[in-house]
Order: sequence, then C-alpha cells, then structure tokens
Amino acid sequence: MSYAMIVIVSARAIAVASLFAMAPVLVAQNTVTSDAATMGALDLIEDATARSAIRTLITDAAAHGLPTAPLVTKVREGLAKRATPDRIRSATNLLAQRLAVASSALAPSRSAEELAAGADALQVGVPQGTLRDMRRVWPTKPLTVPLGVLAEMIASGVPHASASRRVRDLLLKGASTAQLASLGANVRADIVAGLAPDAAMELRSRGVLSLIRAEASLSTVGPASPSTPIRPGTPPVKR
Amino acid sequence: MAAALWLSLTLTIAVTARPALAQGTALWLDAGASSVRQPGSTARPAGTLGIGAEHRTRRFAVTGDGAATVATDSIGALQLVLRSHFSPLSWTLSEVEASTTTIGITMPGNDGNRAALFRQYVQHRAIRLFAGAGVGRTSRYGLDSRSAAQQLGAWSTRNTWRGTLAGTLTLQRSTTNDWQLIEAAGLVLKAPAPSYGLHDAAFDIAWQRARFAMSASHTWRAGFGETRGTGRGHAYAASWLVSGPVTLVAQGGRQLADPLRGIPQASYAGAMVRIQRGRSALPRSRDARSAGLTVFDGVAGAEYRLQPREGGGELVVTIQAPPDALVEVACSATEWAPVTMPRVGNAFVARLPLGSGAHRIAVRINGGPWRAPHGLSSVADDFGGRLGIIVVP
Repeated sequence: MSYAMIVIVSARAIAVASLFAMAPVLVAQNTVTSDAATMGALDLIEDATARSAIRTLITDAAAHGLPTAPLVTKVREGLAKRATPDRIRSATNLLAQRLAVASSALAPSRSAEELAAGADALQVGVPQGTLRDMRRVWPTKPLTVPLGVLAEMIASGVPHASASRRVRDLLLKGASTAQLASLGANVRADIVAGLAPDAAMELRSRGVLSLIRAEASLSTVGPASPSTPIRPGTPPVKR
Repeated sequence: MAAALWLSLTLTIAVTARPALAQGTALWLDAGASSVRQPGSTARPAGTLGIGAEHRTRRFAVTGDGAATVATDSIGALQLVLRSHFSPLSWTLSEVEASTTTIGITMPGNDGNRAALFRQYVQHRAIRLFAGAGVGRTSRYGLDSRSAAQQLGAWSTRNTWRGTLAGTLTLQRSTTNDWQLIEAAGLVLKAPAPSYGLHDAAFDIAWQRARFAMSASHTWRAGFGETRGTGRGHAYAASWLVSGPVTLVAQGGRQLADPLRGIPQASYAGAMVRIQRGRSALPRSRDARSAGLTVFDGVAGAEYRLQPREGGGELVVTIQAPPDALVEVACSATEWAPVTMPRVGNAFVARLPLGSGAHRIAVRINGGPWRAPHGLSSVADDFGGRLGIIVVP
C-alpha cells in the first residue's frame, strides 16, 4: 500500500468504531497531557489560526484515544527547527493520521512509545498490514524496538518486503530486543562499509537467527521436539 | 532446513587436467566472473581476481595462491592457499596444504576458515595411491566449529595419441559440528550425536591434449551414524590455452558443502582468463573460495556511539567543527530542546541518556540546517529536513 493510500485509509479509520471504542478510556489521561504539556508549546506559535488548528488536532486525537505526547513533541520539533506555523500544523496533522493508523493496526496497545514507533514505521512506507502482522506475532510484548529497527532498516535502503519479512522471522524465532537493536546497528555499519542494504539485512538477520538457534541448542536438555533440529552434542563454541 | 543459513559466495576455478609441470618458477594472474546460487537463495553474480606463484624443482614444489572475490552485492572474500610437494624418491610424494579464508573483505572481522590437509602418495607404475587427513576450523556469526576428514584414493594416468587421460577415485570420511553448513545442505541428525558424519565418494576424469583440457567429476554423499541425508555433486570444466600466456576457462556444476574448508553447498557457472608468465602450464585445480560476513561493530566515520546502560543507553555524539563554532543537538527524548554541545578536546561532544525505544536526533552547526549525525539512518522530518533514527534496546 502506498503512503498516499495509507493517509486516505487512516482518515477513514479514525471514524471506525474500533477507535471510538477505546476512546473513553483514554480521553482523561490524554487530556491531562494535552492540557499541561501542550500549552507551553502551542503558546510559542505566533499565528493564532495555526495555533487553534493544532490545538483542535491534539484535542481530537485525545478524544480518539491517541497519545498526544508525540504530537506535542512534533510541535516542539517544528518550533526548534523554526518551521512556519502552517508547516507545523501540517506536520502535526500528518503525525496524527499516522498515529491513528498505527493505533488501529497495533490494537489493543495504547503505549505512546509503541504507537509513535508504529507511526514512524508508517512514515517510511511500512504498510499497515505489516504492523497488524507484527502485532499478531508479538501480541503481548511491546513492538517499540522491532518497529524502530524496521523503520531504521527501510530508511537505510533495505527494501520494505525484505526488511519486514526478516524482522517478522526474528520475532517468530524469539529474538530479544537487544538482538534486534544490534541487528539494526550492524546492518547500518555494513551498508556504510559498502554492502548492499538487502544483502546486509539478509546476512545479519541470519546471523541473529543462528545465534538464537545456538542458544536454544546449548540450553536444550533432553530430546528435541520434532520441529527443532537435533544439533551435534559438541556444538560450535561461542567466541 | 528450507534455506541456506548463511550466505556466501563460492568460486571453483579451473578444475582441469594436471599438466606435466616442468621445473622452474611460474607466476599467474586470474580474472573471472561467476554466478553462484546456494539452496534457498537467488543467484549472485561475482567477480574474482587471483594471483599465484609456483616454484618447482625435481623433488620439491611450493605454490602460493591468493584470490579476492567480490559479488555484485559487495560481499567479498580473500583466500590464501599454500601448498607444497616433496618427493624424496620417485615412488613417493608428500603433499601439505594450508589455506586461510577471510569471509567478508569489505569489513575486518574474525569470520573465516583455516584448514590444513596432508596427503601421502605412493606410486606403482601408472597408479598412484594416496591417503590423507585434514582438519578445519570455521568461524561464522560468533560460532567456532571444527571439522576433520580422512581420505583414501587412487589416481591413474594414461598417455595415448589422443591425449592424456587421468582418473581419480577418492573416498572421504568427515565429521563436523558445523550445523549451519550441514543443515543448509539438507542433512540432519536423527538422534543426538557428537557430530555429523559424512561419507563421500568422488570420481574425477580429466583429459588433456595440446592446448585443450576438459574435466568432469561426480560426488556421492551419504550421512553415517546418526546423520541422515544424501547429496550429489558434479563439476565440469574446460580450458583452452589461447596463445602465449593466455588461457580461457569455463566451468559449472554443483558443489557439495565442504566441512573442512567451511564452503557451503552451491550451484555455480562461470568463466575465467589466466595470464601466466614463466613456464607454460594450464590452470590447475584450486579450492573454492568462500565469502560471508563478519561481526562488525561501529561505523567508520560515524558521529555517534551508543553505549549500553541499564534500561537504555547513552548516546555520545561527536561533531568535528571549528573551535569557535556553535554546535547544537536536539532529539525527541529531550522534546527537541536544542542543547549546545561543549567542546571536548578537538571536537564537540554531547552525551544523551536514552531510554529503550526508537529516538530521533539531529545536529546543526552555527544555526545552519538540522541534519542527521553521520552514520545514522536518516528520514524526512516533515519540515523539509532530515533527522537520524537510533534504536536503543
């Protein structure tokens, strides 16, 4: 799905019942955030029309159960970068739409960090379906780091499909967040060193997979399950 | 296992008939291109450049052979093979071969293979019998695996007016704990065992006449002990001494995983040109070259460093700028409040504690445009600029 389509879908998604269903629970806590933290940032926007529009955006987001902290951070980022009020409004609006799509895809999560990571992934072109799929694979664990690594990899030039497939594989195999973050750093280093992004991603993810298997092999006691390959009794030594 | 566990490139160069080598010294340069496909992977084009030298006397010969292989996706390998022959008597010959391979030449690291092989030949008329043993150690993705092999074989040659015909039969028994290599080749353990066991039988036939040489080989593999699975490999090669020092070689086939040298199973096809100075000789057999990837921490020229900490990490940003410059850093974790970076030594340095998760960061010098620190993945910031992404475990 292209980015343009994501935006269109997200606009519709805001109206769907799934988002409204969770809204009452979160309105209170997000209103606190918007009241306390937003004012300071918004007051720095000189244009009254833009300021009002952004305030409405943030209020609407809170009403729909979306975290407002990332939106306030976006406003602050725009101010720090001396962006025009209209540009700040536009950027905040885009982020609100991405948060709405991420919220729908990553439900039932309401973590601001996780939804912000989902929004970042959407920004670099990760399809909404991929977010849903990752939530299915990791229904209870936070996807903040995996989504961050996915966005990082795509931003580094790894094709969407390849990056998504490999991160998904790692989630299925039980990679830790440390291993995922390390994967991102190593792929980035490989790319800078001259390796093609896709090849770097493939190699590094296989490296993590082999470490996971080695750890599983070393910790396995008794007969292996049918789905687990039997490995030599004197396994390779970890360096 | 559905796919190969690790990616590598292999090139098997010029498995041709062994010419009758004259005494003296020879130098050669090889350049070739090849396409290699491992099980579960797409074909990868690669180029190779090799250089070698050999000095031979009546009783002694030493050969040094080095090659660099780089694929279109910039994966590379360096291999060095040192081989010596010693023949104190006409009916016996000892051969020692040592090889070392670094897999991943685009970056330094510890991944690679070291192998050594000893063979003793005994000749009776036109038949040469041999026995040998070798050991290998492969480092891949932080795991060191070990392999051993024993060989028995026979070699014979026959000269006719149609050319020289040679045949070799080799029986090999090998053991290894390199499960990444063996599982990728489709062999498995059916019950717990100290290592995989492989029996190989290989038959090579080679023909040479004047400027032409051809060879074909077939290998049968079967697991023994608790190892289950079989495999078949084959290789074909042809070479033509075009003129003077130039020889062209074409080759193709399917090689089985080599536990001793850590070379994965793969199909390949390629061509090579050799330019040789010194006594004339057609290219001789050369072991496959393998490539992979190694562990590499850090990015050359990066303006950041992430140091792990409890519950997150500390991002150290280092920017080179004139001493009187104003260098600022801002990130999502600090609500984008710009922080002036103090000068420490010859650079401006900021230390930012970051919690676990994804963070966005940018720097600027003298009020200029915000940009991502070098080495970080960068994305559009919705304001017409770029910023860097960092993920903290």
